[in-house]
Amino acid sequence: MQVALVERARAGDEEAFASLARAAGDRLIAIAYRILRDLGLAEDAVQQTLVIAWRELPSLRDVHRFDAWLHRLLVNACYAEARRGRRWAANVRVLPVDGPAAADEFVTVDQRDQLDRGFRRLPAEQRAVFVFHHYVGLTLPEVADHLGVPLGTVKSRLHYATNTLRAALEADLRTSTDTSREHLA
Amino acid sequence: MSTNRDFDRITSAWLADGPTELNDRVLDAALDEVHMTHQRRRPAVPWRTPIMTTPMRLAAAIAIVAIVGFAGLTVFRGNTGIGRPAPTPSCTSTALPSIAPSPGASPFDRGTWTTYVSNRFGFSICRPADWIVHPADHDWTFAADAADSMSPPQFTAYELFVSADTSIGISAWSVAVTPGTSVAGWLQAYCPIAESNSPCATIQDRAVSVAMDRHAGSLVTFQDDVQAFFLIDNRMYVVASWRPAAEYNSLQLLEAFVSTMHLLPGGPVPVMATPPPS
Repeated sequence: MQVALVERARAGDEEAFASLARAAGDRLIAIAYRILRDLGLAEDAVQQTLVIAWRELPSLRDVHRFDAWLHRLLVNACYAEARRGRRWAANVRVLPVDGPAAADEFVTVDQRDQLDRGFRRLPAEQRAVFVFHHYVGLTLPEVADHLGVPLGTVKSRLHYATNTLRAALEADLRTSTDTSREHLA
Repeated sequence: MSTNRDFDRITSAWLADGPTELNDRVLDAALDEVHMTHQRRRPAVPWRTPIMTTPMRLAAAIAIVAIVGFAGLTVFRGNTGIGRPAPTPSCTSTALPSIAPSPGASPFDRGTWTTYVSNRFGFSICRPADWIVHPADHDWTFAADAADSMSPPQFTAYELFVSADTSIGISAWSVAVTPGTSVAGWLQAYCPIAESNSPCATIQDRAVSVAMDRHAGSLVTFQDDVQAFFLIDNRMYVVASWRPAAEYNSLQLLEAFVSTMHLLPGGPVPVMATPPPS
């Protein structure tokens, strides 16, 4: 079904492309948001991706690789958005969340805050690898294929991203422990 | 963080939080733009016209004579200097950078590049013809734009060229500096603000020489990008490649752009600032 749509869209059928875009839109925004952590930038990246996909679709040789090709376009658009937004976003302060910082079922508000901060410090290339592996669920070779980079590069980026986020969480844990001790003292 | 399982559980929960549906407004905007966008297709032009009639041969002969005649006249005028218009730098008139680009890296084929003139910043520069240009909308100032912290991304203080697939961007701008300012001194002020995640104390160790329009400058590799700096007549000219040096031949691409750059004889022309949206 999708292959037929891709072939029709590649031949210039806008309706076929619209169907592909509707089918992929939710997945693209979910990935883009998690890479960029900014809904406005993510929406811009998705819009750019869809327009470029339409324009460049005739150059796609293997229609079975449409999804991987689309992911690569999306990641490139995210890199551009991240680079555009990097400097001004760096100064955006994370506002405190109203309500108690109580632990929910899986992750506390403080942990979310630390992960947000740690993630924003990562280069977009490391974020993309982390998201495609941990959120999309691709294996590392698949991530390498979708992003168009060597497997070693994927491993390296994932290693740095994981270390940074782990350090952020451990810093949060230390802070929480120190606070608890102060309360007990 | 006690175990990998804890880390995976926490990050999975954190990643699961966020939008999972594309707003119809975004999809509609994209499809509207698609409707106005032509697909890029390779022209299937045969290398020669299979059948050439006598009138076509005649027309071709006339065209060849006209082209040769025009070229000869141009050369003649060039030799005598009579009637020659002011020289416009060609995108291929300068030597390619010393570092050879990787095979198939089309951005380095400058035969297809076109010239962009920045009156605001006082230079001309070439860029691939299919790259998208985002002109600056205000002059670059150290206070407002070094960190670029307050400007929405669509309002820029530099000329921005983005590749057709948006995978890389090149920005270029200039700013007047106080007489007596040195490149090293200016960079020591610029780096901590503009490149806060890069080591700024070792800039000089990472800088390599580069030339622009016969002026010497410094090319510096930062954490996220590569930038070239030229201090000429109390004005700093900066060209940046928005990808790390190890990616996309970022360094070579920046050198290719810089090699096409020329200062405008009259310098920058003041441009009215675009008012920010209310």
